[in-house]
Amino acid sequence: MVEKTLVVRMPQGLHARPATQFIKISQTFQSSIQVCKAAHCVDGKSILGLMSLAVANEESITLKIDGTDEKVALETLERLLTEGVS
Amino acid sequence: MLIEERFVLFHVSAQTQQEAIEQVIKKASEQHRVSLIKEVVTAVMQREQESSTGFGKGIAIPHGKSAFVLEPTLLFARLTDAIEWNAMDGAPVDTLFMILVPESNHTTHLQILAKLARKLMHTEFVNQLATLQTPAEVTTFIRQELA
Repeated sequence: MVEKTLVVRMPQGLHARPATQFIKISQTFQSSIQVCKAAHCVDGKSILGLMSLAVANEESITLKIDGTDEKVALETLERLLTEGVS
Repeated sequence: MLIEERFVLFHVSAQTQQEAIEQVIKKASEQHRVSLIKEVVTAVMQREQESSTGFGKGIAIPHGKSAFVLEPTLLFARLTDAIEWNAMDGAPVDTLFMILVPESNHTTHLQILAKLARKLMHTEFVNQLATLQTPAEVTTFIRQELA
């Protein structure tokens, strides 16, 4: 399992298009993906889960990824969350 | 932002997403929460075009921020017939939660959105919602669930 805490750099937070993009990308990976804010963790492949976290710009979240493609999944999602590119 | 009976609509007849959104915003205008219907419809439609708020199970949460929204408002609408919403699960939508907030409001709608999203993950909430038949029932249920 890989785990990383990072600061989200998305002007409107992890909502709308960025959230949909996140889900679309996370669903392409075989690994299980958890997104945690404070003590609350949700399935990173579920749009409702992600919306329920209400992640704003410059907030810290932790990605916990477990599976055969965990490293590339972490790198890809980190780039999306911090640089807005996938 | 509390739901009130006057913000609950049943039997909304609409053929398209835009029509449904217009009708709900018209209601908000009648209740003095929106000063210019057209502008608020545009804001909500723009958000839908960015990515659909049809989060699955026949439920959508259209929302928008606009200077023509006078007070943060939560509305509920049940459509007569399910319509296409480009939803995540591909299913048509017949239930709307609409969140409208003034331009100056930064986070209220996100908090409500987060609370609703949390609830919609539970099948029990969705099933129970589908059984509600009157504005009073909807208001009581949603207030209790979002408390």
